[in-house]
Amino acid sequence: MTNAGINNGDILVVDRSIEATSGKIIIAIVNGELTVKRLVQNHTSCRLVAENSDYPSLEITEETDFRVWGVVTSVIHQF
Amino acid sequence: MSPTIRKVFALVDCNNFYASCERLFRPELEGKPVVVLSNNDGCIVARSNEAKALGIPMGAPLFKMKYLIEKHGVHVFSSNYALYGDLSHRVMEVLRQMECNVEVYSIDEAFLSLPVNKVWNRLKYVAELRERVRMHVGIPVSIGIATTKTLAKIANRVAKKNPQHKGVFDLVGNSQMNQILQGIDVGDVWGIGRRSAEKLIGRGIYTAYDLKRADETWIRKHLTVVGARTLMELNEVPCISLEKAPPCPKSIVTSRTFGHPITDIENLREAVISFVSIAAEKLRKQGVEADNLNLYITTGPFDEQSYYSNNQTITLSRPTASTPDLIATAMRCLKLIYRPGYRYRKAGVMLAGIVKQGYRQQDLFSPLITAKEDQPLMAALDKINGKWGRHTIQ
Repeated sequence: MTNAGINNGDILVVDRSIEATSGKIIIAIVNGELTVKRLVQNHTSCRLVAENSDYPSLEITEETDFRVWGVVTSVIHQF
Repeated sequence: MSPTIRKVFALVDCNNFYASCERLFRPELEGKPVVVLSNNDGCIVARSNEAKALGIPMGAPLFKMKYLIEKHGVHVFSSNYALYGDLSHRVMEVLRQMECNVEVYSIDEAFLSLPVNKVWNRLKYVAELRERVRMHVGIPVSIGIATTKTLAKIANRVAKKNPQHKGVFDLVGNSQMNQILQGIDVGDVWGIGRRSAEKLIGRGIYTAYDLKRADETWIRKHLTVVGARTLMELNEVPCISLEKAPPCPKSIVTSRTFGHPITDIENLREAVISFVSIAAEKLRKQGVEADNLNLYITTGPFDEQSYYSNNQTITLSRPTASTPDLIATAMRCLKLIYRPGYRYRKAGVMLAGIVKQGYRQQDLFSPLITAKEDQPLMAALDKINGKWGRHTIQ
């Protein structure tokens, strides 16, 4: 998620009470694993974007085991 | 049902609370059997539904369950009371945002008082409340509604045990009331302990329904006024009201599993001092004092070659909430149970015998001490730690 300003080892502030809408950075549960991605949604598709060219985006289909855990609101970067 | 009732009770109960807390940050364990162990990793104190289905009983010693645990790959957690306390607080906070009458009854239960209103769809409302807790905190809860607290407990049980109700159940004006009460063992009724249950069964009172129809004079005579109150509550006469002031806690526990095993007494001492400081601060926050301290230290539960686990309780000469006194006591305990040559993975302090400040009995052999003696010091300590962060001063 380096393109979104989130680096390895950073601390994220997560608000579970916010609704996950397109464009928000979210903590998602994909196949039982926690992951941080940007949610990109339109009328036809839903994707989890890694914001890092080294990692592919993940297409969310009806078959994907996917849930939103919470919405990331801030990042604390440690020097 | 009496037409004059104005309020009903709702009991919000977190499902398999400790197991749900552990699963919140380990979503891959969803749908898998999970158990949480007591302090000292001795017994199983919480089970997910999947673990219950395997036939792992509540309170079972871990070693007796080893076979089942290994066979079914049950995930085993040491208890993390700091996590459970924090999540409990968050659940209660969400309830308080929605309702002003919240009685926190235990770490995972709260009673609410809801207004009675024909137009208002109670069941829909509590279903929303349940969904809100699930979304904001991530802990599944069940909610039962009834005209009395005792019946709300039963309604909650129905909500929890029957998936078709989706976690919420309303017993108010319910035509199935008597059938439901017939399905509840008398020993499972709120306020009926084991001894009382034995007496009742001896008298042929087996279910909540039997108790509802029992002879009040006999109940009052053999189960005192407490039993009579339960009988009234089963008959929809509210006898137990909402209590918003939290009762004295029975005990305060601070424990941690260490990131790396600790071998020397110096580091162990440091950890124990920090536990005692946190626990003592909790005491003072609630305006209570403890009269005994229990310390335990343990290696990992599966360190079979060099397993060591021990604990020591010391009763103080008088109840106290003073950090230095409690630390000194904990150090005496540690000295008694510490054995060199082991890799300690966990330690914890439990303060018990808790009384409200000022209710203490003076000790015949200790100098007469008024509660005020070290209070200014402790107040200053809490203030500094509150401002600069825990552990600034211990």
